[in-house]
Parts: sequence; C-alpha cells; structure tokens
Amino acid sequence: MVIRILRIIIIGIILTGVLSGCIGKRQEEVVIYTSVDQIFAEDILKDFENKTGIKTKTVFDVEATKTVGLANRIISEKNMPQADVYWSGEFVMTILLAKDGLLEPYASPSANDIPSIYKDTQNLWTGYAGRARIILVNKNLVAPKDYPNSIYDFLDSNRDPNMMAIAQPMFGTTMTHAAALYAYLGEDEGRTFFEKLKERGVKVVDGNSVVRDMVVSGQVAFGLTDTDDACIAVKKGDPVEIIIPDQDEMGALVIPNTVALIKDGPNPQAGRKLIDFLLEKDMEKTLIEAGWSHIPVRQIDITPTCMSTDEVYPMQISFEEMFNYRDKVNQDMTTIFVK
Amino acid sequence: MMSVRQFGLLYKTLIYAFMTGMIVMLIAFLATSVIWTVKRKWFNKYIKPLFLTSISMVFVPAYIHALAWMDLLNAIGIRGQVASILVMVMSLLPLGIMMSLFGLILAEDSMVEMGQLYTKDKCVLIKIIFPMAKPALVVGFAMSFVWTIQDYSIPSLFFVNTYALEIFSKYSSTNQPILPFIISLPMMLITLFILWVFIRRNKTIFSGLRKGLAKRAMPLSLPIWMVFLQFIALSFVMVQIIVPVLSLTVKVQTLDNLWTSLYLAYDEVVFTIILGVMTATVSVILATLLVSKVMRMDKNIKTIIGMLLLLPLAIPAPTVGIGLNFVFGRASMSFIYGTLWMPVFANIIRFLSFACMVMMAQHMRLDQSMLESAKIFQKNRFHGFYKVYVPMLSPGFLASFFLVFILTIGELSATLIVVPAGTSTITMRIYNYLHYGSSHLVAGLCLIILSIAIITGFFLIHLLAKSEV
Amino acid sequence: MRINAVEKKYNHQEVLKGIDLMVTSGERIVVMGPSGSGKTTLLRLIAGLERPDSGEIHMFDKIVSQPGKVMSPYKRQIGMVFQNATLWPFMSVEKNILFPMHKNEIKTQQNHIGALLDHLDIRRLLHTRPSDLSGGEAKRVAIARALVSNPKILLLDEPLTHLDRHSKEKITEAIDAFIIKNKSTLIYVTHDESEAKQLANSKYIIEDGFLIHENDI
Repeated sequence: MVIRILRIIIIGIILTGVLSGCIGKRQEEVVIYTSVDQIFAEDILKDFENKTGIKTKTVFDVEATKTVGLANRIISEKNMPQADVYWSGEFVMTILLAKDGLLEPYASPSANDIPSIYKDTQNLWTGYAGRARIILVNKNLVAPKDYPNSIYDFLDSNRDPNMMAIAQPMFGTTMTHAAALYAYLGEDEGRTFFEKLKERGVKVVDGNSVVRDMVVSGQVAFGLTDTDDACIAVKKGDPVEIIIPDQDEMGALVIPNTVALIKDGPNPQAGRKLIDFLLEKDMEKTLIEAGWSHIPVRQIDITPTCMSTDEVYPMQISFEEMFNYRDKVNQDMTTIFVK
Repeated sequence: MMSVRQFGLLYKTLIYAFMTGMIVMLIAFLATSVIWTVKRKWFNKYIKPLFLTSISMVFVPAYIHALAWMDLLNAIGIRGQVASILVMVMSLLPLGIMMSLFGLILAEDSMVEMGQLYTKDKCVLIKIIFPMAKPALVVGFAMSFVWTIQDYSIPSLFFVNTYALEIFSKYSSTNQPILPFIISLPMMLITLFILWVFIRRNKTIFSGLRKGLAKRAMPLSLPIWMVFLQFIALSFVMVQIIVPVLSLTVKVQTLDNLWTSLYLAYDEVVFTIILGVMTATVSVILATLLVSKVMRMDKNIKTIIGMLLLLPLAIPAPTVGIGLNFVFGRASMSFIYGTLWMPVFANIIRFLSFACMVMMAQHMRLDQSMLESAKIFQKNRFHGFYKVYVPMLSPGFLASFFLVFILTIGELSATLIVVPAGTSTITMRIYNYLHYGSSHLVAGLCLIILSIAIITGFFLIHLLAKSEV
Repeated sequence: MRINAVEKKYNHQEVLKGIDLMVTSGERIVVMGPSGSGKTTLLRLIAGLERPDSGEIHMFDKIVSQPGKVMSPYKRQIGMVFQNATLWPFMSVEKNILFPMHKNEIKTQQNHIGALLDHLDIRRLLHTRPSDLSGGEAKRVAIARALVSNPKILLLDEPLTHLDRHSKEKITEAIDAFIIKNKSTLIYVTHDESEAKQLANSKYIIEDGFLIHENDI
C-alpha cells in the first residue's frame, strides 16, 4: 500500500516537473515584486490585466521579513533578473537597489505632475502616495486634553512608560524614522532620544501592526506607528484616534511608496506600461481611498476615509540623507535595544 | 569578535532555548507515555485522535499561537520570558508529540514484557521505555532547541530579546547574507556541541536493539503521582489545541467567512500541497539513499557526517534562497531557475537534515539480520531494496515525509526569495494578511491549513497502522 | 569452494587468524567451537556479508572475496539460515519463501517447491504472517526459503537449536534429501555433537582463530 502510494507520488512529481518545463509563454506578461499589501495590490493588478491584457505575475512581501525579503531577492537575482517592476511601500530599499545599479532609468509620463523631491535625479525611481508616522491613541485610556502631540511625549516623565509602545527601531519604517531623527536632530541628540526611550522602559514590540493591536486592546495607551496600520483600526471602529505629531516645528515623517523598473528584466516594455499605470493620478487616489496610503504628493480631490490629509506638515529631510544614516542607526539601535 | 552585549545575549538565548526544548519534550514524553498505560480500546477511542489533532496543530503559525495566548496570559499576569517560553512550548508541542510517539511506537513489546517480569511498572517506564524512545526524544529536543534559537518573533512579542533578533537586525540592514551567517556560527557551534554530547552519551542505546514480534504488552500500572503527571501533560496537549482553535473559530465568525478565505486562497492551497508533496518525496528519497550509505561507514565518519547534516540548520533561511539564486541564476540553468524546483530545493536544503535524522533513528532500530537475509536471497539489488529495505523503513518514510511536508508548508523566508513569480504558499498569504492583526481572513486560512494537516495526518497514521513493521 | 588464509578483526581483536578450507560439491562439513570463537563470522565471510581483512575466498574458480573487493551475496548461489528465522514480518509466509525466485522459475519449479513444502510440513502455513508462527514453524519456513532456489552452497547457523523433535526431524530430512539431489555443499555451525553427526561427514573446530580439521564422521 505504502509503496503503491509512493509510486503514484513519484510519477506525479516527474509529470509536474516535465509539465512545468513544457508550458511556454503564450501571453504577454509582466513580473512585479511588491511590498504593498496583497489585499490592496491584488485588485489593482487585476485592473491592469483587464485594461491591457498583460498578465501580471506577482511576488508579495510579508511583514515578517520587514520588507527586506524582496529587495534581497532582487539583489540575489542580479545575474539573471526575473522581475520587471519593484513596487515598494517605502523608499529605503529602493534607494539601495538604485545604488547597487539594479534599476533602469525610466521617466514615466504619468509622473510628470509629481514634485521632483519625490523622484530620483536619474529617474531610477519615483515616489508617490505617502504614509505618515503617527501616534495612535486609545480614546478610552487617554482624555483628549492629554493626547500626546509630539514624539517627545514618549519621554515625558508625567506619563507611564509602560503604557507606550514603539516597534523595534532596527527594522522597517521605525528605523527610517530613527534615521530621519538622526538627520534632523544630529547624531548625538538622535541617539540620546532612543537611549532615553530604552532607559524609561517604553515597550518595544515586533512591528507596527503589533503597536496598533496593543493600543486597540488597551495594553498601552498610545504608540508610534504608521498610518496604514492605524487606519485599519479606525476603519474597524476601534476606540482610537490618530495624532499627527510635531506639526509645530519638526514635522511628521512622510514615507512615500516607490516604483522602479528593474534593469535587464525579462519584459521591459510591459514593465514600463505597468509603471505608467501604477503612477497615474487616479491610482494614487485609489491607494489613498483604499487605505494603503494617506498623503498624496500632488493635488488630488479625496474624501478622507480615515484621517484628514490636508494639513500634514512633513519633515524636511531628503530621502538620500535618511538613507545614508541607516547603517549607523541600525548599529546604534541594535546596541541600545537588543540586550 | 563578539561584544560583551552579544555574548550576554547569546547566553540568555541558549538558556531560553534549552528550557523550551526540555519542557516541550518532558510534556510530550509524559503525555505520549499513556500509550503504554491505558487500555488499547480507550487509547484508540480518545487518546489517538487527541494526539493526531495535536500533531496537526504544527501547521498553525507560532504567531497565531501567540495572538491566541497573549490576552489570556496578560489577564493572569504571566509576562516576559515565562510567557514567551510557554507560547513557544505550545507551538512546538506538536513536534514534540510527533517525535515522542515515533520513539514510543518503535519501543519493543518483548523488552517491555521482559522488564515487567523483573521490576515495577514505574521502573519499566523509566528504565526501559524511556531509553528506547530516547533517540527520537533527543531529535525532538534538538529540533525544538534549534527552532527556538532561530525565532525572534515570539520572544519579541513578549519583550524578550534573543540572539536571533541580533542576527536578523544585521541581515536586514546590511544586505550581506554572509554576515548573519558568521554571526550565527557561535550559536550553531554550541548547538552542535550539545548534540554531540547527547549522541556520545547515548550511543549504547543505539546498538543492539531488536524489534520484537510479540503482541502489545499489558498496560503498565503506574503510581498515582506519575498518573497525575501524565494527566497534567495531557491537559497541556488539550489546551494547546483548544486555545488556538477556539480563538481561530471565534475570529472566523461565520461559515461564509471561511468560504471566502478558501475561495481567495484556492490557488495557494493547491500550490502549497504540490510544493509540500514534492519536497517531502524528494527529501525522503535523498535521505534514504544518504542514510543507507552513511550507516555502513566507519563510526567516526558517521559522527562527522551527522554533524555536517546539521549545518544547514545554522544557515539563516533567506541565505538559502539567496544562495540558490546565485547558483542557478545563469542561462545554462534556466530550466530550473524561476521554476517550482527552486522552492523545492530551498526547502530540501533547509529540512533534509530532519528527514535524515528520522531515517537514522529508524535505521538504528532495524533488524540487521533481516536486511542481510535480503542480501542473500534477492534477485538483484533493486529487488531486495524495493521489497525488503523499503517496507522495513516505511515508518521512517512516513514520519520523515510528514515532517518535511509540514515544515515546507510553514516555511516562509527562503520560499519568498525563490518562489516562481505569480505563485505563493498559504503561509506567505497568511503572513501578508497578518498585517491586519488576527482578522477573520487569517483565521480562516489557518483553519484551512489545519484541515489539510488533520486529513494528511489521519491518512498517514492510518497507513502506518496498517503496515506491519 | 576454497578459502585461503582469511583473517578478520573486530575492534582490533583478531577473531579469525588465518583460515584455510577447501570443500567440494556434495561435501558436508560441520564447524564447531566455543561461543565467540568466530564460527558465525566464518559463515558471514563465506556469504559475503563481511569483508575479510586479508586472504581470499574462491567459489567455482572465481575470487569472490578479498580485502578490496567482495562479490554481492546474492550472486554467490548460496542459501543461508541465521540463528533467528529472520522472516520479514510484512510479507506472508509464501512471499517470504518465494522471495529468491523469479516469476518464471516459480512456474517451472512447481514440483520442487511443492516437495519442499511437504517435506517441511509447511504447506498449510503459506498464507499466514510470520508473527503468527511458532519458533519451529518459523525455522522451517526459513529453511524452505534457503533451499527453494537450489543453492550450490548451503550455510546453516545452528538451525536446529531450541527446536521440537518434529521440526528437527523434518528439517534434517529435507536438508539431507536436498543435498543428495543437488550435490550442494553444506557448511554447518553448531554446538551440538549429535546434530553434527546427523548432517555432516567431516568435522572442523575453530580454536584460537584457526580452523582445524578434526576428523571425518
């Protein structure tokens, strides 16, 4: 019995192997790697298929790899790229790929109205549809008059550090945030800020969605997270409030989505078409209305579903500057927080 | 060089992993030891389904265990390291139960009966059954230990930092996969040392065991305190199933939601099963060939090869994927590059060791004279191999197939780097959805994975029960 | 068959220190000696289950064993019965017995197989599983498996120990008839002097690692 089943399985495998080698390309296709959440990206890419007749093949990143999984995949495929388009929810890994010479310049006509600060000088990538770093507050635990309005509220000695959370600052957007603070405040002051966080005993958790979950469940009163995570809670009707911090002086960190064409990808023409599609003004609107992004980089009429996006004052730091701090920040954050 | 901070972290992590591994195997052994103490009928009716369901829980991502347990543990005031160990134990218990059962099923009735003639049942359990199950228990401990030291997500949920976090932090910031490999070396060397000590101390058990042909021995009757311990261990197994399943079911809310999850993930379900079956089959074949060669070699070479087999466990998962892309990413290899074979290879590299360990444990228990008879009477090599060797190893085949299948289905980081564009595993989708916390979609997907596991599990165990080895 | 100066060590201890032996077809020899003297090892060397540390074994004018090269056991036209019956538990008695035979052989050798089953009184057991056999029955099945393919050399490792009289008689008769008919060589290991007399016509003793021809029986 066992042997018979084994035999069937082995034949099945040989057939699968042979068949997978035989199925050739019948339809024009484009391969996209994206760290945009599947739940949003899937519908958008379906629309692209319907509109152009080009089949999309996608690999989605997952939060557990802190969005570095696919960037590493592109680096490892350097000799023989398999992807045509990289569509990321942030910019750090995109700049890294650009610096490694893995991207192909492409000035999409859809991006003509995007301000140049959101574009690479050599058109290796284009940013749009930003997310902001915000403070999410549990309304049941904090009275409106006590709402924090600055990241320095995390250091306020009148507040209980046990009731605040941030995500691990060695990874993801929290690391980018740390890099932005290093750039804005200077290295020493930036480092001191995080040392004090650690010293006070602010909770450091595994990812921005965990910060949100802890705020929602009341395990902490407020936490630093991203707008996309926060908006999920707002949409579910959880008792939370989004605060955009430091609007008086420093500004809030806004992290754009980025789109880039992979150098020597298998379908460059289809790749360009997809990039044009993704960077359209309407698409930015779709992303914001769907709840993935919240801050448009160009003039768009939107009815806000989660938070008002009119008056977000962004931190005035160039993406390049933040990128350059990332090694230093990672090293410092590991030393401070991993003990 | 390692800094004082890193050294302290490593030390802390090793203790944490050691505790976790020991607790997992202790509970697993106590719980599974009931197969020697309860009546056959009772066992088949109640205990067997319990164990099967427990083993199937291995498919539930550790993260889901954590989410299910977090509120509960918080409410009763268990936090930090203790909470982290508890959740880790719960998520590893299925693995422990599986290895422990494997060990106990192979223990021989005749030896147990012989023991019953001369000593108390309590001593039979401790002095005869335990040593006979020990090789499998050691493998179970090693797996739990390695798993625990590599995971940073559960401990970080409970604010416990581990050495794995350090490695991952380096990996994510440097994009140099070799660097985390170097950092993970001290961790691996210590693991190897621990395994080596275990193997050295236990080698006498490995030799001279013969499979008895006697019928199932009479149930042992144990002193009340041991029965109590068994009862506690069994309760753990039950809780380990009930808490996540209940929390998953509550979160799915309606049957409609479950159908939505299934509809959305249909392609992934099919792809995952194909990937799992292919990886498991190829691994079992490779492990069989490898182990049958290695077992004939000199003792020292055997030890060295055994150690080498464990090395892939030290390679961080993404590095495996990156390495494969590097090797196959060339025109001459395009028949493999970008195909289903890439994730199959990645998972083989990651999990072949486990298949080999199971096969070795099975091999050590083989009655050599049966194999030698085959050598004399076979018509040709293939005849003997196919008709005698393969059936005699079939429990090992099934156990290692199931193990690799389970591990492959749950694999994330290496698969992500090599999976063909346009395909995805259920686990990849679950982790993508986890961004939304424990939504009904995630819960639905977990229930789907759980059902696949239970069906596969029952099917395999049914086959195993029918085979006469 | 000829054995030339064969030596074998286990864990640096010399078990066989230089074995020389020559047997011709139809000859029946018994090898005796105290426990641990290397009797079983000698049989295993002849079967090809062990590799000699030095010396050679010839069968039918071919070298079948030497330190660097060992011909696979199944190619040597031997039949062997171990101390235990070593029946494969997952095959029926019939499958165990017919294991060494090709399909067409089974057809052409029906008479031979039938005679063997009757001689050993195991025809009624064909469809049982080995786990349901008594010790004597299992041994008789093992003998049938060893004789079914008409081996040129028959190696028996204490086949009659701990058996009831019925089984002993059946086995002795079957082996006797088989050797007379096939002119096979019998090499037989035992402790028991009376058993030795029943089957063999010359007696050897292993003493201190050497094989000594003691007398003809």
